[in-house]
Amino acid sequence: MKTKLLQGLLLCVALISVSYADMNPRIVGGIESPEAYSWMVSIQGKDESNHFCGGTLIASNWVVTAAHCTDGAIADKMKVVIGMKNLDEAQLGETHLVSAIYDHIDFNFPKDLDNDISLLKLSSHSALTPLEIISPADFSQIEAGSLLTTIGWGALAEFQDPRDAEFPNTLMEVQLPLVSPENCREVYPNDFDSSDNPLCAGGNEKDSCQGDSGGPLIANIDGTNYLVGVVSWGYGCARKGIYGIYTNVSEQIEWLEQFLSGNFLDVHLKNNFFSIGMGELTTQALTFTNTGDEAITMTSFNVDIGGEYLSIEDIDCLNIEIEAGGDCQIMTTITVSGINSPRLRISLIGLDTAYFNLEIDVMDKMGFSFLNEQKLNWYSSGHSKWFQPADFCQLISGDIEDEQVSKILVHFTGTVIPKFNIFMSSEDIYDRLEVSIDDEYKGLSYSGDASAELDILSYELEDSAHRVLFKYIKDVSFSQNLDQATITQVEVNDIAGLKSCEVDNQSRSDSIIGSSGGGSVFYLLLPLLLLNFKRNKAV
Amino acid sequence: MKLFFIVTLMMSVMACSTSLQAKKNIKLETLYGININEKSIVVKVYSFGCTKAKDFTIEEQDGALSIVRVKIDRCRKMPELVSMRLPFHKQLNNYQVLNPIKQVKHKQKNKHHTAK
Repeated sequence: MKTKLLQGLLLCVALISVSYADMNPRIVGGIESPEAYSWMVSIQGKDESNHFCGGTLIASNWVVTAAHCTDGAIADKMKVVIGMKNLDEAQLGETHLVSAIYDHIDFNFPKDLDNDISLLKLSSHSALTPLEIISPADFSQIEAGSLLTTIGWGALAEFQDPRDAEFPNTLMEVQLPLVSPENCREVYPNDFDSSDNPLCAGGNEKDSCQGDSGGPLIANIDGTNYLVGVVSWGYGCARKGIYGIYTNVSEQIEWLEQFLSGNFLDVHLKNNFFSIGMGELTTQALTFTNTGDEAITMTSFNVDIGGEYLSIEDIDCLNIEIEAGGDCQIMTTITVSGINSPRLRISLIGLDTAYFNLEIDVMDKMGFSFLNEQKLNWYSSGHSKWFQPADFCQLISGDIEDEQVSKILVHFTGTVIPKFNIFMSSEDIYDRLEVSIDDEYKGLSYSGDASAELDILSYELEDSAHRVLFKYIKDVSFSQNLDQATITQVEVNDIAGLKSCEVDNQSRSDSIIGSSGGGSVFYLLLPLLLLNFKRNKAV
Repeated sequence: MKLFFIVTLMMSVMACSTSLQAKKNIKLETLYGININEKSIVVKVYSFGCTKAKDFTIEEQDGALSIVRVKIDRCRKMPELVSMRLPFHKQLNNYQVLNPIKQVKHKQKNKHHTAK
């Protein structure tokens, strides 16, 4: 009796297993790659060695991947492993650091996930053989229904809960039929219009999946492999009649060529992110560095998009040779009104053209009753804005989470030079308040449980417009103390004499300390060397 | 005090979320952490590379809060937990969260971990 019961139970389990397997085809429907490919790339965190996207080596020091894999990422914090098959055997492949990330200049434009492609410039050259990119002419010869191959370490099946998803350590690959743009548009009517020509493959219950992004879609023509697509997105994974979407590499040849050609204008824009107040007129220096191995000459500078916001004041480096490692500075004025995220693109023209998007964080003007009569204009932005508690003469950073920022900018002119008192109550070292003066970070950072005095008089500023930006930044984990930065006092030394916010200091301090459950208050003296820190004309 | 408030809120949310979720027919985003502040709700959710805060809305009915993903993340990057701050300005004393709340497992081989 017991035996029959056990047999019945085993049969039941077997039937359930078969049924489950039918519903969940594996990578999705693919096989373990028979070999390691010299051009196959795993993109990983530099320290964690965690695979997060695929990529393809297309030149000895260039890897192509998906822009959504690298958007917002920092080159210094990633690495690539080339030519390995098993993620546990990175030593069998080549490991390279990444020196620069170039997201497509029109990533997410005009629609989300348009131009989902980026390039990683490696710090060193690979000895492995790269994969050749298909030409537009050859791509046009591939007919719908032709089998293409996609490869990666992504999930083996669609999953409901990422915690239960199964990811292989071994490289997997699968053949997928190319789908005509017409058929693909029918499946994704809300994502593509009639003018789009998406590159789609699959629909045969085989597919790429999460973890495969950035990896290659390959065509084999007469025995030679060519890169035709980059894994981008899709609805679920391997659903019947639902296709995976790939970035069409043949449509990106021109963009890729500007990097891969010998004429690549290897120029790096030192800072492309600016925080400015709404309606504020600011002078910004754009500093370009020749990061190539040879001297270059730039002949023209253009504002391609956003000319209404940015105008050029001075260029000190056109038509002169800039040595390798040398800088070129362009002084601009930027003012933005009525829009929070303006599009701004500039280009430098030499032997080739280098394009740069400028990211402008337009900060909202704040109605703080905090010495506004002294012509201090306050602006704030970030994941949560700074605020002024009712009846308190203090400004407090917004409530933010890990890896978030709360910013406040004060803009003052002429001889009005303020002195700021700062109260910190944060995790020591990691969560911090960083201060930039006239857009230059001078190493001023405050953290822990402490008070400090920031005396801008020490900086020998010119008699002109100035701006001080405070950024309360939280790192990846852990909070301590009140988890906030507070500007407790601003003293303004103008012609009429010293003025400050008129609230009783003792009651203010008591309230801060009381709510934290106690804590010592002491003053941090600024390093004496800062007294000699002169403002650079450039900033 | 703040930590106590958050922990208490988390416990009450977890206790009621399962039973209340059953009353609602839509599939709610699974949360791997939630922090309710005066002006916003911060949730931890999985991203496949393209999740943004604007992809979520907060629905409130009869004191019950639902965090609803209005745009699916269809990208194919490795899943990773991200924090999203969602603006919310109502009084929070009597609210309950309907979303399922789960803990993060630390078993995934390829899961991104950051430690100090």
